[in-house]
Amino acid sequence: MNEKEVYKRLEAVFHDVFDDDSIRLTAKTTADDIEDWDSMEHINLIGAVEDEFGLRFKMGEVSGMKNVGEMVGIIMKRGK
Amino acid sequence: MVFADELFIFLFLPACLLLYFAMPKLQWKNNVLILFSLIFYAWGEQLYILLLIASSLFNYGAGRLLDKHKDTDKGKGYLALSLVVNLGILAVFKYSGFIAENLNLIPFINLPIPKMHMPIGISFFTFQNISYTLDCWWDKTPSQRSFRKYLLYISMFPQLVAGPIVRYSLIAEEIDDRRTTSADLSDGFTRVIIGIAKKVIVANNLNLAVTACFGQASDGYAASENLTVFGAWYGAALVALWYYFDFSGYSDIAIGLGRIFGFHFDENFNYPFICKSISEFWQRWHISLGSFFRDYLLYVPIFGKRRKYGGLFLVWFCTGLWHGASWNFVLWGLYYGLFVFIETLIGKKKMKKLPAVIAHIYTKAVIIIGFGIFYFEDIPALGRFFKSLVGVGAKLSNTIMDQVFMQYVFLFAAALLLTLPIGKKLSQLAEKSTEGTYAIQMSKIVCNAVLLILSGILLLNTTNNPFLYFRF
Amino acid sequence: MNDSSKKDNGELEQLIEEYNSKRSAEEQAAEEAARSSLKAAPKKAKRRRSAGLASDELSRQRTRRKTQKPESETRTTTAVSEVRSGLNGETARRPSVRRHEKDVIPPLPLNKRISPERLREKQIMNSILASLNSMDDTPEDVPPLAGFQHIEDTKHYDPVKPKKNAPQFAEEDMFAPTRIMKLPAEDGNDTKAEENPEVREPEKKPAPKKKKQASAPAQKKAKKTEPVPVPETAGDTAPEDNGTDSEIEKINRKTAVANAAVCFTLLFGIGIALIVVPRSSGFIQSENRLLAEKPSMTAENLADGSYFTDISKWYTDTIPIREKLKPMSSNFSKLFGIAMDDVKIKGKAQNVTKETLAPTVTSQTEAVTINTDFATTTQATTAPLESTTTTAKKTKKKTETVREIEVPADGEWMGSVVVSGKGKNVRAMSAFYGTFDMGEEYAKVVNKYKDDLDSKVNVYTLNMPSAAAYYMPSNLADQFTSQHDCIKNIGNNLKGVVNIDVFDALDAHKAEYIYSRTDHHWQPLGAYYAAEVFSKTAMFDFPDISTYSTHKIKNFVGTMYAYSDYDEELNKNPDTFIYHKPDNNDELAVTYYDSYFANPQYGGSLFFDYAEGVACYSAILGDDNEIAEIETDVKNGRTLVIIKDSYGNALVPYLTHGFERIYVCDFRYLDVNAIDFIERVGATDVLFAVSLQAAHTDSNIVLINNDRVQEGSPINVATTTTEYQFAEPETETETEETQTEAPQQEQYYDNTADGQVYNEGW
Repeated sequence: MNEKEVYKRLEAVFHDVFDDDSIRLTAKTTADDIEDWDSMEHINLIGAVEDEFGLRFKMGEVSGMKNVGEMVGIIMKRGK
Repeated sequence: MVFADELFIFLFLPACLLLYFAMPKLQWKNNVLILFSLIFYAWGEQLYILLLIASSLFNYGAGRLLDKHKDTDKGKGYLALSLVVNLGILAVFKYSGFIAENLNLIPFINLPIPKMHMPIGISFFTFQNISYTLDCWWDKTPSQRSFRKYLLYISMFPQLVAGPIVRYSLIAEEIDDRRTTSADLSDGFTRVIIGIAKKVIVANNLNLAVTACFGQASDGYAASENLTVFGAWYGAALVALWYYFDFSGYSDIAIGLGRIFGFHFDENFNYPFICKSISEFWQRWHISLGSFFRDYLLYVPIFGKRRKYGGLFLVWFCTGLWHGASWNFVLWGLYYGLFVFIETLIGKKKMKKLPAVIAHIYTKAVIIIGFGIFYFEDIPALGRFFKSLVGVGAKLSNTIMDQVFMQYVFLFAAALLLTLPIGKKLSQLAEKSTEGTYAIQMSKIVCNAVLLILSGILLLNTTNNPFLYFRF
Repeated sequence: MNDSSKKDNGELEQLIEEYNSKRSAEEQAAEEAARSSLKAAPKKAKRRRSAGLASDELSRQRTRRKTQKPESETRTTTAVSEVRSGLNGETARRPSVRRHEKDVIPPLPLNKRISPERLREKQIMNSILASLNSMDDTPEDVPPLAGFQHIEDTKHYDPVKPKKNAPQFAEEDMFAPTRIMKLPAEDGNDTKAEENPEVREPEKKPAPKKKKQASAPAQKKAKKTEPVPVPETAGDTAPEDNGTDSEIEKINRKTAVANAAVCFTLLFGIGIALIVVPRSSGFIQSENRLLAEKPSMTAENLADGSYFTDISKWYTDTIPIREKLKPMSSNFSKLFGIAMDDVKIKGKAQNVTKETLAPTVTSQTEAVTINTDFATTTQATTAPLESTTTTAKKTKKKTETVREIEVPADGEWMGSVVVSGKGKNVRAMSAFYGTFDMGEEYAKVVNKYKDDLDSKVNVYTLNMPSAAAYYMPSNLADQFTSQHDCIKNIGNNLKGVVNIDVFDALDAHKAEYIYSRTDHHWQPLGAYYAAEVFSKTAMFDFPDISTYSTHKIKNFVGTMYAYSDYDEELNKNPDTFIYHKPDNNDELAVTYYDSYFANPQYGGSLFFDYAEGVACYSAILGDDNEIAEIETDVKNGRTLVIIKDSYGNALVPYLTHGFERIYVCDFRYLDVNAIDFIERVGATDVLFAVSLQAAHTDSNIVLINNDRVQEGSPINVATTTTEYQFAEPETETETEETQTEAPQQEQYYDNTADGQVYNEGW
């Protein structure tokens, strides 16, 4: 898996969860950049990402990720 | 010891400042802080200071162990143990009576109701300890090597007894590296004085008005026996204002004191009453608690059945329960949780489309009723309150209530005004010009002096204790 | 977005250049090495761990950077300063809020702060690394401003946390800098940075005004203004776009110093004054108590904490000029609102449901005939009693016991206090909270007394209304149950007891000075009119007021001053306590006993003319916890026992022509069995003189009943030195009157010839 792929797949997940096809992800994307991304939606998002990449986030990661870049980092390490 | 007290303001604090700034080295300054914090706590709680120290020691040790056994099962075990101990302390000292009372409702169970003394601040420092251990486990901060410094973090008197819930990761660096600038001093003092004024001038007097409307727990809420519709709404609004000024006043003192010592705590209140949705309210009210629960509790149920709203329920149940060992608090928490839930269902986009007037009316009504629930710890009284809100069996108003309202009308209006960020806007406007800046800053100085002296005078009344009968 | 990002990228490059140029070559090499090793498995740094890759590297660099030479410090600090120039000139303050209105709770935690210079550095590093690692169409590094829409609170962001060591890379805080920071506007602020240490030197705070601590705070302030490597306040270095900002910043800086100085001065000045100036002590009129005393340190009071609470109390209580300052705070509370019609409601308001007496009930009182045949009534015996005392009294099984209640502490005031009027007319009165149920309970207790006593003994109850009955503003008066109705209600529930209804008598004279305005008691003149009613019903001599000598005590500010939260109007318009001495005052033999009816003090007087201040009311009969015995020069065979609360005191001077002997006991301070006592003294008349509010208070009703059933102490009617034997105690049942012996009842005393045997249990 290379990063580009990961970003593409991740973007698809985001489009799905937030119902917004215009979302573009960068390493620096944060919750501030996406309108509906709040703590509740985060739960949905985590679930969807886990399903897409076949991994499980750890509790510390769920609340500890600072931006999409970190999420991608975790996916690269443990995702499929 | 409490902040709103002559002895604290004019004896303890100057002594602490004197010693603190006399110390040349930072670590000596830290030691001064620890010493004064322990005195501060022991003043009110005597031997319970051992509980504070023991709990800090335990969590310090847990942090070190977690660092060593990161990501291992042993580490998980230590983490679980630390959580059990921390929550256990809280359960024993704060909730044991409540638990026993409720267990006794089950037939055949007849436990004696323990009357534990609840050491002050236990809810705060327990949560701080929990945040530390979890942060160590999740790698958000390295554990603190020195017990002395960890004790400083936990026991620091600005935030020990009334919050905010300061996370270790926030001030970890500042323990070893901070400086007090003249701006820190100026802003810190201003903050402290504002906090004292909020508590002594506004909150304490709003309290009088609240008891006039609702009575108190100690007298069984006698005054609520004959509530009127107006009285119920007015009283609940008073409760909301009272709690805001009381709590945010203490938070201001905490943050201000922190500044004076060079620490920068996060804000705990951000003009909560200008919110347009309940979710927003909780981002502005008791921010340190909300973020604690969000970060440490909200996502727990994901790992269970992944029910999205399990976390929400858990968080609001605990938020309510944290505030007090009584079912009305839990009800209060769930009440807000319900509205947050409804708002998430409606969705943020639609909530934003709500016209401002409707949003404000909706939020204020929910908040006011919520604080009514918060106030009445007695279920029958709460029932009376609800009935009066809608006018069941209650008159619209009565002369006593009208009288009380007029008697406090200016205070009420001032309190309402002070919930708005007027000061902030004024400063922003003024700082566009030199004259404006000068004016604002000078008026700040004058205000500080006046408020400090006035609060000092009002605090004289704390020892009022008139005796009915002549005593030789 | 593309354009701005390109532009930002341009600035980014520029910054990178500058940044690189300021780094030493060694460091650049280190960075290169770091970049190249990025792809390798990242080692987790011991101290700082995080999930992302880049930050691991950065942390390594941070540790390297710690060994930098000082010059690099200043270079990085200039990076700092230029970053700070982007901010709109702000004193060193933390962001007051991390969120902006648009989001709900963001899912990521509020982590440590990062000052923008560090963030900038980190971002630069990240962008370099990202661009190196990524392929062409990987998402480009988005400069921090992308997506950034809200420029809230730029002023409140403090970019600077001056550090002794080199700035360390903290983990990115996505909220504060990303949203708030602006790109540095311009360059060339190095000069400003250098300026600052000099600028700071003369920043001594102005000498504090108070003399005493001039040196100490000045020293402290001097310490604080040590030059720091990094400028203290953001604005010092930021020219922004116009020159006025540095002016503003100068003003801010100077006023910050002044503000801190003023606060320090006040705090230390007052603090030192409070240590040095001698403290108040002694008795204060306004609260009718002594000021707290400094506690001494003992092991006990340290352990249980009372030492600390007492010290705190003492510290606040004895602040000099406390009494002068209290009126200030009460005047301040006037600002809270408007007193409509000059009426203020203080205290803990209680809402009460108003009850009205059903008119049909009033006619149910049975007429009670007074027994006036006093000649044959048992006299108080001065001879040793044998077992004959029991006579015609029934012996009942005593099943009723003393009921434990929590009595509100003396001085605790329940309920509202209404202050109405102004000037000479200002009056404070307590609202009335009686309910008919309570009145019924009271009547029942009094009935029990009647039952327990000999049928020849006349029992009366006289319940005085409070001032609120006559002077409460009419709109408020409607809220409360009528006191007259309550009196009538008691009457309706009495059996064999005479109800002395004084309401109308007082009403007729309410324009006169019958109630104090600043005290919760009535004036003796009101008691006179009430006693007149009593005399008519009980048929005894009652001389006119003109036969009494009048005495006045001025400047009587009573108990209501404190209970009205120190309403200054009351203090400015005190009462005058006017009392009357009967013409046979000199012939009275007054003896005061303690509550056990022992330790007599002979030769007392009914009046305590030296009473003053808030205690004026106790000019009559003094303290409540004593039993008074008054022997008059009247010879009519009548002995009166008054069971009273403080209101009853004022009645006594007007009864001195009606009875041979009068005994006055306060039901709160009676440690003998009341029935025994009444019989012991040979009373022919028993009067319950209890204020109406007290008669409607549960705890008082229980106390009155307890007096009747308690065992109490052995009663000593000691007029000679002979000791008296005691009769077996009366026992009674609640429900029926049976003439059972009391064999099961423990013998409390044994009338054996060889002396008394007391039950140790006493």
